[in-house]
Amino acid sequence: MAETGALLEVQDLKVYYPGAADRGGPRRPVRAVDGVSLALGEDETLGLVGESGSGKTTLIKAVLRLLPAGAQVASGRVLWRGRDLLTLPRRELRRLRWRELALISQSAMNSLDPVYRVGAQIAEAILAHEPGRHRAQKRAGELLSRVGLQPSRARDYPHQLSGGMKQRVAIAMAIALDPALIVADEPTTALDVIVQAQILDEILRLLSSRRGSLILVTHDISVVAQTCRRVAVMYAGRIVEQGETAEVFERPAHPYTMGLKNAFPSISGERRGLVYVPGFPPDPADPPPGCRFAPRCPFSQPACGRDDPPTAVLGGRQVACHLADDADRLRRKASEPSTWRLRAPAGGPVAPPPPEGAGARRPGAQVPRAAGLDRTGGGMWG
Amino acid sequence: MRGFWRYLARRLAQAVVTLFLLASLIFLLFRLVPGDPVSMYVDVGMTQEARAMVLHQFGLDRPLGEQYLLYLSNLLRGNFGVSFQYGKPALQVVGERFWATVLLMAASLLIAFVLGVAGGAFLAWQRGTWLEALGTVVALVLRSAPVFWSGMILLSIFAFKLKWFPLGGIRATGLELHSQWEKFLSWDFLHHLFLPALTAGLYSLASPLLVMRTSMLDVIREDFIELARAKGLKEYQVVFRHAVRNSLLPVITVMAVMVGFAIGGVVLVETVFRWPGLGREIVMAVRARDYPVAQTCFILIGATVMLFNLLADLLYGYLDPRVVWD
Repeated sequence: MAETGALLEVQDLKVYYPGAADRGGPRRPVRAVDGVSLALGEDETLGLVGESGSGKTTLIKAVLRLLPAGAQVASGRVLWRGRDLLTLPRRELRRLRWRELALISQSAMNSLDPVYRVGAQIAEAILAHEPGRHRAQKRAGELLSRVGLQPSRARDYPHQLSGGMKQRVAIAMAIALDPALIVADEPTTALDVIVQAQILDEILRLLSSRRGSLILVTHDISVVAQTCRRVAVMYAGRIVEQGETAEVFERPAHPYTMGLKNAFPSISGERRGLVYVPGFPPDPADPPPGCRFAPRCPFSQPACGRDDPPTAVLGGRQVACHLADDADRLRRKASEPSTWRLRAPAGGPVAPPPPEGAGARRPGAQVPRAAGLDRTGGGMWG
Repeated sequence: MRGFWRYLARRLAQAVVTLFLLASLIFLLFRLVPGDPVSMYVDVGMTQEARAMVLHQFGLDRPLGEQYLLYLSNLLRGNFGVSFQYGKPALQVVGERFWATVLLMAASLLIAFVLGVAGGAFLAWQRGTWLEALGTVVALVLRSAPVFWSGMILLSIFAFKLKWFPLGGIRATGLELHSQWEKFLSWDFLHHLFLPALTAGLYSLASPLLVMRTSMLDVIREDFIELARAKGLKEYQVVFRHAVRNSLLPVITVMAVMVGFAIGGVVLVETVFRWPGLGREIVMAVRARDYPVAQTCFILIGATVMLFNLLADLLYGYLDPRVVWD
């Protein structure tokens, strides 16, 4: 089974949700994740970035086998140390959970059960895998102090803690059994900026003090740049580019990554206007043929709107683009704002925004917005 | 904890005020009804003097204000007056029947609550299957079926055909009682209680069941349920410890509201099962203008509803740590 020594290997994973009944049209499945492959080694940190609705959350839910009812894995495998998690018997899956794969969920606010004390909730995770109530409760107190909270906080209920404290509890819970992989799904989204920085520091500190891998899901590329050695960029259910973080953001090879980079302000860098990618992500129930990004790509060629792009390997990097060989030239052009001016590219007209509720309202998804990502308050021309 | 005692004290004080208002309202209500008690049960051929004497005996010849003050001061001393019909203290007339009704009501609410919570949780878990559709329909049918009908159906199956349960009454005839307690604390009593309690319970089932189902459907979408699963908890632990526990809260609120209506339903059930409860007594007392007995019944029922409501509120506060007592 295990072709490589990878800890986690996702192979051609496709996850579909049942589509909303279209006005008159046929019921088409929503392709939230549509052919994703990635690998993660031991002690590796991977950032998963992409705008809302790009399938990040669905991808990691499929990996953890936490997909909501109705979601369907259409194809692919999720290998954990060579065993397919998707077909693992429930008993074995349960033993693997938390001991090997832990989760810090999207919103700290709601990931704690309001009717139990936080210490009991940490202890519950420990007790699910090792007996000893007293020892588990003592561990809970120790874990809280490891994330910078007083052990006496264990007796508090979630509503007695601030958002940042709750997220610290969630982190304490995640490291309780020293898992081989922690998946953090937008762990800082619901927090204000100062607390965000503190929580990120916390995650970084814990990472450097422990062995183990991390997948950090976010739509904030600056967070990934600070935290992760490798990054995978998702667009419309597919990974368009992955590689070393520094390399990917320094010298993006996929036009979407180039656009993404433009759309983010650089705090230390020069003052410049933000340039955003025109148009909207495609309707996941009706994706365009060929490259998903082609309708919005300023460089698209006729082939882009026809054939799925091959995955080009450039050094340690994988790029799903027909024009990958030409990346250096595209990058120079991409830095000019005029390149991104709205036009009808060769790949066809810019897709209209998907109908409300098409791809959105899946767990964690919002109505897709322009590629300026959620944090830019709309783009400007430089 | 201090906040809790203060809360309890305030609620009890409120209860006293409410009871006072209730008692006054009941007093006035019965005096407003046309007809006087004497004409109902005294011989037609009675002389005016004899009539006046009886009225005087019961204090009915005094002005209304005086009667009212007397009534209140008697109530404060726990004296509910003497029944016009029986010539016995009203409390004594009502006493045992009151307990029979309260126990029947409590048992039926317990059945509605337990079946409602379990059934609602099950239906939520079966979301989208034919079982869910069937369960919802069954609950609504039970809600729409009058209790005298469903009671008779249960009787004909379980008492008449199968002979598992008695046909009615509160205890087997010829049963020797060794103590007052044995009236209500015996297998024989539970045996008699089961069918009427089930009838009233099934009737009240729909609200807790449907509320539980809706509440559960909301809760199982919460992140903490997903996290509980990710922790590696067993499925039943996820369901009971987290999903059901959190979904219970709105059901408690509904139950508190239901208590008042449950009394009404129980009165009908008592007739079908020949249950010697308050229901029949109230009807007879009102008809006979037996003020003391009718007043006692209504005050006791009012106090019971208030007590159950208070208990529901306390239970809610106990189950939800976010509740602040103040």
